[in-house]
Amino acid sequence: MSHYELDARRLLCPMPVIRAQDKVKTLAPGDTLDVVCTDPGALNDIPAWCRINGHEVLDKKQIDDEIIVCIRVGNID
Amino acid sequence: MTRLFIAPTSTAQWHKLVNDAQVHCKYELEEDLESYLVFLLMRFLSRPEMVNSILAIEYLQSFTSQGQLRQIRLQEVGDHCLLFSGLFPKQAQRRRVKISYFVNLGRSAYHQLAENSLQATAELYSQLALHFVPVMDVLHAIRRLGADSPVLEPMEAMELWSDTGSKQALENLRESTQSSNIQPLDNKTPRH
Repeated sequence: MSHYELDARRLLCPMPVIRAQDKVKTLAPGDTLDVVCTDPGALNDIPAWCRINGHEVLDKKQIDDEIIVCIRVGNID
Repeated sequence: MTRLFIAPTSTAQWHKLVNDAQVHCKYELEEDLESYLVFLLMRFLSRPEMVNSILAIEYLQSFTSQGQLRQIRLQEVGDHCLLFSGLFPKQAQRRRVKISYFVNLGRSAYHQLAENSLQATAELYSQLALHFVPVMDVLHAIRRLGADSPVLEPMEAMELWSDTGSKQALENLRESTQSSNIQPLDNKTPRH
């Protein structure tokens, strides 16, 4: 199990979720990924995307202007 | 007949709708384009004020803006054009333009975005510019799924097919006529 970080700062929604989707394709089930973004829309988009794709949102937090959504990669067919 | 979509979350519902529309119009969007469309639909359908935007002014303002603001304006123009051309094509009539006006403006906005973005995001914007018409066709198919009659009037469909090569516009046209010999306006070859 490894931990990764994706820099999606300054990307406009829905780009952070697209970048997260591309990154997750390269990861293994159980890996965790911090998606760091600045568009507040990502707070809803990324968890919604996780729900329909079988990934788990471990944490969501906002620090100053940055939003960090931590996800655990689920089993991908 | 009205269709009822049952899925556990709003995202899943949009996802299913976009998938069903792709099946209907026999077009398979790449995964990134499909996701972009799903989240675009989720975001903008809760913002009815978008229909008030004046796209040409927003587009021109993007050229006097810099950095992030320029990107935001261009993305909004591209996204609005996609939704107007695909989901709200009657906006063209109200604004006294052809639907292909939105297609050309939207393509141009996404193309500008691609040229001014980092490689990772430039690729998707470039795909949106390139595949604008098929994505618009998927949106037309979404409208068609829940309607009893074609989305466009025959002349609108003819213009859109002649101007852009939209397969859904041609399909729309076939539904509106019994003629088996449909020719583009002014005998021009539909663009693809």
